[in-house]
Amino acid sequence: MTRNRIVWALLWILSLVGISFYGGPVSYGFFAVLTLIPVICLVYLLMVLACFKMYQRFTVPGIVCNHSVPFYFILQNEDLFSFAGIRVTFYSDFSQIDGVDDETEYELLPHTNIKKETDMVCRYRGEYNVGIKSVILRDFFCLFKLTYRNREPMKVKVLPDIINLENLQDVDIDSVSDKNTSSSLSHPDVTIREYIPGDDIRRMHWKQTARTGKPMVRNYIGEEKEGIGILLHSHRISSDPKEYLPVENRMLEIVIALALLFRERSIPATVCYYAKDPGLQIVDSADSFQALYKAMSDINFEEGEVSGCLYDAMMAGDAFSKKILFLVAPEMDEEVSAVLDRLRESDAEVILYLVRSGVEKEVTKLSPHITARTIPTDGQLPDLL
Amino acid sequence: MIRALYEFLFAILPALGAVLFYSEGSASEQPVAAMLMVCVLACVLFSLFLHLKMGGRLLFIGIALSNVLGFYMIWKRSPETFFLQGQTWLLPVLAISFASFLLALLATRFTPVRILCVIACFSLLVLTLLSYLTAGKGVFVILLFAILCVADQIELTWKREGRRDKRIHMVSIFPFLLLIVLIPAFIKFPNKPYDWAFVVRLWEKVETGADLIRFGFMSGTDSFIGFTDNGGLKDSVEEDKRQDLAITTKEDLPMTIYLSGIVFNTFDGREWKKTNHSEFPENEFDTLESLAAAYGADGLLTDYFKRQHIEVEYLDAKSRYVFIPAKLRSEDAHEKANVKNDGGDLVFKRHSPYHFTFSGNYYRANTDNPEFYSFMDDGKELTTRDWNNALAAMGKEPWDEHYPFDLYREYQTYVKETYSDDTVLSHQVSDALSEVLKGDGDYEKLKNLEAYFQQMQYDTDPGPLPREVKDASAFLDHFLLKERKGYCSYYATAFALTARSMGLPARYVQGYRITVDGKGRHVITSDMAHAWPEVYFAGKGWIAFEPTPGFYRLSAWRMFDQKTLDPERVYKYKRGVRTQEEEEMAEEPELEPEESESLRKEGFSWHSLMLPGIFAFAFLLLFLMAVKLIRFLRVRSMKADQQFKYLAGDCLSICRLMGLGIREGETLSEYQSRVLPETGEQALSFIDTYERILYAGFDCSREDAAFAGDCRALLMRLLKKKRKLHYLIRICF
Repeated sequence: MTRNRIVWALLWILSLVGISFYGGPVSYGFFAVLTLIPVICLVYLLMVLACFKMYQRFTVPGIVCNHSVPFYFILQNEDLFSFAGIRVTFYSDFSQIDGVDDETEYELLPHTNIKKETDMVCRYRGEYNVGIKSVILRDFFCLFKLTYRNREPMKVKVLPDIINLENLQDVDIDSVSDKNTSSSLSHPDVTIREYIPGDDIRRMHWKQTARTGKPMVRNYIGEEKEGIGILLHSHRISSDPKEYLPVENRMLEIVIALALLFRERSIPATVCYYAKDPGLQIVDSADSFQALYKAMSDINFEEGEVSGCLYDAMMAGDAFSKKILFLVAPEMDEEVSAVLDRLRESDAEVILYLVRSGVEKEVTKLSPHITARTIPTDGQLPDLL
Repeated sequence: MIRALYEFLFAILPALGAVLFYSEGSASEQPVAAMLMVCVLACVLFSLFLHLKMGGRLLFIGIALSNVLGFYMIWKRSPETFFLQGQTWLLPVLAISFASFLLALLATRFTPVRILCVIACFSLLVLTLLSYLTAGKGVFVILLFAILCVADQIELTWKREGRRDKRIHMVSIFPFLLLIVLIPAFIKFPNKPYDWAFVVRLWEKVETGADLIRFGFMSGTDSFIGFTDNGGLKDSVEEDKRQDLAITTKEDLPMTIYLSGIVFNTFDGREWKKTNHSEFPENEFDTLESLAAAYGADGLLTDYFKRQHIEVEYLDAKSRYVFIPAKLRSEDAHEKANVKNDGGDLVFKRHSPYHFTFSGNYYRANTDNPEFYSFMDDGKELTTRDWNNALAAMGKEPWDEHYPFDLYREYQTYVKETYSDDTVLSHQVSDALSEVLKGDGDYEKLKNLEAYFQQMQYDTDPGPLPREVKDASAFLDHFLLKERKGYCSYYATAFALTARSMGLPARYVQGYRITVDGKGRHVITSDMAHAWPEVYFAGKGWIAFEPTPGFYRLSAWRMFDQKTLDPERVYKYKRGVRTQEEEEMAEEPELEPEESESLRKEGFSWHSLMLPGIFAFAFLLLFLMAVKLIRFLRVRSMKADQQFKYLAGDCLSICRLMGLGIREGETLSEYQSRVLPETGEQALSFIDTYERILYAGFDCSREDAAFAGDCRALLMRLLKKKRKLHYLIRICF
């Protein structure tokens, strides 16, 4: 295109020189023709823009993250003149069209169409535009390029992926499923401890309370903790979809994968999260897992102030009574730190999954009972967990 | 058909272009419309011939030959009434069409040929530009052809996906290409090159702005507003009203004052150049010479030269030139600013001081007094006594060592060498001016010449000088015989060159011309810049003339001994004096235009076309009958399965004519079930057998072939009902 423009510009300058020294139809005609060429090319492009039609469609009703779905698009010319150069670009931030190159240019002869059947893969869960993003038109002299943004983009809701986990690196699944509650996993032999809100009032040790001036409760050896708690800190870290979509997608994958793992091992898992209000889902059957999946598919992460929401969700799910608590969060913010502090006091076994973009996986022991694992947004989840 | 149309476009454009060029370049008048029609028809026929099948081509040849036979018979019978008699353009047009068609065949197939076509188009345009060919509408057709070739090449080399067919693409975008050329084709373009007047004005404004910023930092700049030190003869000039100078006069008299800025001594045919930068005090010697001549003549000094006072004030003019009137007696510019002589001009050694003012006295000549003519042509030589008197009048001492009389001789030689050349008038110009250059002396001749020029036309936009004007003689030929109009520079140039041809030194002066009503301050604007000639008369000095029409300058007063001043002689150029030849020519009656003989033409006889038409029709009928007979015999002689296949194929082609053709990738069964509602079951019942023959190798019998024939007959009846025209074509071919 640059070469054609340079040639046209040189000829136009030559025509200016021509009319400066010669009169008559040759010099002026040459100048007029060269001046009209870009005008007519633009008119042509505008006509193509007005007459060009395109269609795009998916052939399956639902789209799941990382699963390819059949997709096709049609470029149509219903007019009497050919469309010289048409290039189609696609949304590529969160989805990918297989087998179709963005750089491919098409020609549409009169009353012809081009149908391309291909597959599309959406990388992240969420709601975003996919398919044709814009159309670039070129005239028959390759002088101009007109980009037409798709006014009716396809907005799809992509469901999170369900990943099967075999095991977890930080947790012995078998021990979690041990029904013997006489000995807990790793609780120290403490008989009395400070009162934590939520403790059963019947366990209050009044004498010790009077003595110490602080509410104290009896802590039975081999205190019974059962079940798994999965706590989702559904806080949106950014307003830019390129930043928050991968993180949220991974977080939901972790939650769903953990729930599925424990459901398959017949270990009840309580999933706590918050949307506008604290949400709770106990996963102990296929139906309840489906309900969780639907909830995770529909959940909207909160962008604004979320102070106290995580704690409320935790309390709603009775997190302190769980054998192991999995906390899935996008970052170590105040909310997470506050919850961890509380959990530290309760000596709960906590696995913290911090999901971030552009990091390597890393394991850190925050306390004897709290393990933090940094999970990158790319990579295979079974390898990361 | 698209392919035929594509090739037709490539054929018709060069054909039309070539025919238009041929018709415009032809000496005699050609019937352009008929030529174009024949050209188009020929290209259509050639294209048809190429894309017809063998039968069609034979038919085509047959019709063409029968037409030729018919025309030949008519011509043989009565050649003088034959409508093609004398149409010498016919064969060339046909040849051009055929050549274009061949070119189209090559250009549509081979890239080098296409490129050569584009180069040929541009070469043709260049030849037309240089007037080797006559320009007309053919230019635009050729341009369209070049654009078509370029678009075709771009389409070929442009890599894209999709169903690609260059021919369909080119045919479909051709209307856009046509539009590019169609709009300019109907615009009437000027014959003169574009003068870029607005660009020149813009540039001058930019230059002015730059000069204003640079003022005071540069020396010796020659940037002027209005007045210019460039001696070029421009195509046109524009007025400008900047305030350059102001003068203050003391005489309460209406008069015209000329302030000289720069004198030029060399003319190359197109512009004046200043090649003399001598520091000789020309102005002082000129004044001394004139005063000395007056002192040596009969009468008083004031009879011939009158002393006036002037004060010159520089306003917006930023010039290194000191604008002085002729015959300057004294001025204080030498003391106030550092000035020097520069080839007849007075210039500042550095730049002009800001708002510079000087004053001085000068002598105005009594040029239009009839007695002055005698004074100028008396041939007296100066004496030492006259010279000393002149020195005294200049306020100098006699025998002033700076202005010795001996140096005056050298001054005369210097003037002759500097301001003369070998200008020779051509015979035509000499003849034209023979009645003008009459008089008792050179001065009277030049006054007559001045009056003659005053009758010509003043034009600020005379257009560019032709390229062949390269010397003084050529300029005079062009200006006096052809152009006969221009502005002051043209007239001053023509006058000075004519004076030089008479052996008189002459120069071209640029400065300002101011007409004042009386005493007081008068602002000089840049539109008062002017050019005039000055001629040197030995022993008398330089005298300025005013040949520019409408700018006449009257300088005459009664001499001491003169009783009256004859207005007839003084105002003769105001009256408009014409040469004798012009007087005689004005009385000649205009000749009636010659009556041209009208050619006797026969009216077009339509019956002369009937015979070839009859022949062609007869041939057509015979041909069709022959084709049908051959086909019938061929089918009858076929084997059963061949016959069946032929008839089945025929049935499908009939269906196609009805718009029910089989689609790509469609099987016969699918096709049958699709079109059944339109045709009915019986018409397509041959398809089952056809499928078995094609796919299963089934042997068919004569009965099956006959059945196929019945199906064909049914389909023909259907075709007749649905599409009569297709039916007619079908039965004919």
